[in-house]
Amino acid sequence: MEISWNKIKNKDEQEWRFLFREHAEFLYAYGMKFVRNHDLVKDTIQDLFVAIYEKRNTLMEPYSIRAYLCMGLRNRLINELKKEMPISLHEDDYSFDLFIDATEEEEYDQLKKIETLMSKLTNRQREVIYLKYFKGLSNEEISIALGINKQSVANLLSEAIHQMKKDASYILFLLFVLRRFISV
Amino acid sequence: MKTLLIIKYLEEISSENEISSTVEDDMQLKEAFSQIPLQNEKIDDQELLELEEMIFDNKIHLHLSKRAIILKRYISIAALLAFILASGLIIKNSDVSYMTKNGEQLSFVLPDQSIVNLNENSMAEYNKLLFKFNKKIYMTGEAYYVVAKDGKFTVETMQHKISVLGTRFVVSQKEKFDVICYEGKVMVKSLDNEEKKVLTKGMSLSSDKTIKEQEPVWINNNYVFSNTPLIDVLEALEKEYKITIENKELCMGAYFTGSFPTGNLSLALDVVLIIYDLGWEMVQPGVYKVKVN
Repeated sequence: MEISWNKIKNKDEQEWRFLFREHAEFLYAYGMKFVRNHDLVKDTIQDLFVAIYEKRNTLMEPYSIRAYLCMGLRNRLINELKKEMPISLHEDDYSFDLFIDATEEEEYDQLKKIETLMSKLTNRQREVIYLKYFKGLSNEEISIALGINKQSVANLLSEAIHQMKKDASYILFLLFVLRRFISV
Repeated sequence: MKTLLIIKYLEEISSENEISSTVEDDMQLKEAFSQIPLQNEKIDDQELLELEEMIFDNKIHLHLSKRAIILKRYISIAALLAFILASGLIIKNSDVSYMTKNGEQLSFVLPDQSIVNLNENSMAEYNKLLFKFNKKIYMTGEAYYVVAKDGKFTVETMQHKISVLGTRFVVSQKEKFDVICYEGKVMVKSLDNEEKKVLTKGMSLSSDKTIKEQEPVWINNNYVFSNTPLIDVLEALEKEYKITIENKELCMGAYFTGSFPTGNLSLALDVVLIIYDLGWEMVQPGVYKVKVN
């Protein structure tokens, strides 16, 4: 179902709840990659919805509501983080972490390797990888969310994958050997 | 052990290949990454519900209700105005006035049991509701007051204000304004506060003569009733007019407060009976009969 921006503007409660339910979990997951703080992320999501509610009359219908929400949440969280830490420790003014949830997974070793590979990327690279491949956003949506142009998104994605390939070569070689050894 | 797609993918691509530029690569990578479980991807259903309620019941609704509050304010102002208007109407509607024409006299009892005797061509008016808080009567013409002994009591005319405490007095503005006190003490004040005089028993405002009478000369045979059984009132009427009234038992249970005029039988019968939805007819001269309308 498409969300109707008109109904959003007209304070249609049904539509507002639908908007929330459609995007809340995604926003929560996305937010938690910046800062592993439940309450801050939830508060920020709340602020975001309230802000949109208050500005609804002056807002233009966004190209993509999801990208628009991403941008709003991202800017808010980064501002919050800056308040806590005025001098940034990260190259990108923020951190974006992807941790594997794999305590009981059969492929634990492989997943841990992937986690290591992803941790070698820059925050921005991890973020575009996450939005693009984990969450399925288009390059255009990512460019809106991050406030960069589409070409930069494509470059970041390409660099990220090549970086992972490069870093992986050695690990993968070991895995390859290990796999052969086991299968023999 | 199965190999993750992402590992296969990373194995297969060559370092030189331009990647993620084709739809095919996109699909492959999405599938590959989707196999990787990440932390904090799911929010607990309960937490999600709480967040939703927090946003919609507090924040967004709070904002919604700001408008509602403004609306409520208008509604309450409107309600207040309506209330003032309504109470004004109610108060206005509880105005009671009595009027006498040429040759008529009339007595009535006020809510505090004080009695007012109106002489001819007079008018008295008070408000049933407000009288409980402020005993005040407006009048023109001539009236004799027998005031119950409790609380302040005020009579207002066009120019004067007469304040009393338990007394008998007459206020007259027939030819000229006059107040005569028969008992107790009366204070007469002009509304512009220029004239002020206290009268005691036997004093009159207009002359220095002492008044000997016990009550105004025009007061005679006046019948005043306060919550009297209607049958008794009819008996008084029989005596006054020297007539016989039949069917008086129809009036059982009814009580009468007020007075009937002297010198006008049909008016007197009307005055007494009409409010109980009763009528009357003449059986023969001197004999009358009460009937249900």
